[in-house]
Amino acid sequence: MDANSAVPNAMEPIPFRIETIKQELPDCFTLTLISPSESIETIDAINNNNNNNNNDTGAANFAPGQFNMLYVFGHGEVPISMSGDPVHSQKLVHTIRNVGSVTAALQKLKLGDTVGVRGPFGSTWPMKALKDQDVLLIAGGLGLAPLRPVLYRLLSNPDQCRSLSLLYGTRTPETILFAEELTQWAKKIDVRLTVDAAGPGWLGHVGVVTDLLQGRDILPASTTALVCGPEIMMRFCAQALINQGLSPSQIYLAMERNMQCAIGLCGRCQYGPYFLCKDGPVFSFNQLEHLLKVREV
Amino acid sequence: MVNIKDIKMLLKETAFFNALPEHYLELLCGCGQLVHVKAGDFMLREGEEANSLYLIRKGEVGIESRIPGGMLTVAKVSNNGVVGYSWLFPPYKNTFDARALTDIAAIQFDGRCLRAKAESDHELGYLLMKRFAEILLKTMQSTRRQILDIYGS
Repeated sequence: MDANSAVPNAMEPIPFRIETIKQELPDCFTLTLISPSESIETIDAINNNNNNNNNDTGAANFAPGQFNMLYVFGHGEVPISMSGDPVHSQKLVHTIRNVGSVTAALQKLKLGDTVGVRGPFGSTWPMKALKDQDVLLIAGGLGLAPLRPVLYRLLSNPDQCRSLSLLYGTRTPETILFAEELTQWAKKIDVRLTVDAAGPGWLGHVGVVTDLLQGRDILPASTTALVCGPEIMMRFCAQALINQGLSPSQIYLAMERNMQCAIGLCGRCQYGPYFLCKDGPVFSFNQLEHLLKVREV
Repeated sequence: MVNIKDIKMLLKETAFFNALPEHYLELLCGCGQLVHVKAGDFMLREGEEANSLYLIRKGEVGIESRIPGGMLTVAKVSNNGVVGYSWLFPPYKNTFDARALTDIAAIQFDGRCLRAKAESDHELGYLLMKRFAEILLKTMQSTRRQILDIYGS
């Protein structure tokens, strides 16, 4: 995202209509948003803001890893990652957890209601760098949502990488996101699930997500890992991957902070020398390693 | 009929034992036997005397505890994993259930036998303890991460 080129329209929310609402978990839901005019013009306006060239998404209006600012009128605005397939350029798909006043207001919206959209913003997962790589996607909790566009693209274009594996951890079997899709993905790629605790019916692993790395035949020279989840989980995963022989530049993380302008002007999401909204949310671990060691006050 | 040579050969294939000197492997084989456990059967029961260490060759074991309304699985152990540490220290009582989730092939060691050999040869005891300490460290780190509730942060 080039902040300067985005300035003319970047602060103005474009109204979108809620086309579908899917309750994923009790506190987590997916909205599909569509232009109320059902014309291409609104999407084109969005596309004009997307100057990111680190993607390979064809006719897509965003690249995997990017986010939109969703505005609930009268309540406020929140940054939410894209969780849909980039090639479905007429629809914006966002998976949201109800964790605050704005996301609570989003959860109360009904079909046909209007949401303001600004975006897409931010850096992207390194799709081109995945060519000929063994791609390891590691997700924790809601962190699977920002990685789902990567899965869609790589599953549609198997030649885009050498192999694809998904390691996914959640608290319990009941908090697994996209459970139906995971079953389908597991027919095509290596999918490993783990939970912190489970009842007797659970057939997957029990333990933290880093356990799933143990005993894997990882070829460090040809592996790229994309990690998304709470910061503490990503920190542990990055360390486990380095212990397996990966270099920090082969590991990518998606960071999260409170964002406001989304174009690197307000400074709200500053993290060391970076603005997460503009320079991130996706970073390689070698960009962040020293910052993640800093103890925040 | 399985003999000590078979067990020794299997031990050499495991990360846990393969670096032990030959003569110690032979010594430890005297404490071990090959066992098969049917899916659903308990290998360890909470509160019972702890005399067994299982080195899992094939299959998956659930480490479980009773909670109101049922059982909770807190860890799973599979190929090349180790089940059963409570025989190491007094009071030698199992603190969790271990249940075979699939048919299991394992080497079962008699904890009293291992303790006796470690006591009589402290070098062997040290080598064994180093291996157990490494596993216990990894288990403790994983458990602490679980406690941190890393997916909910």
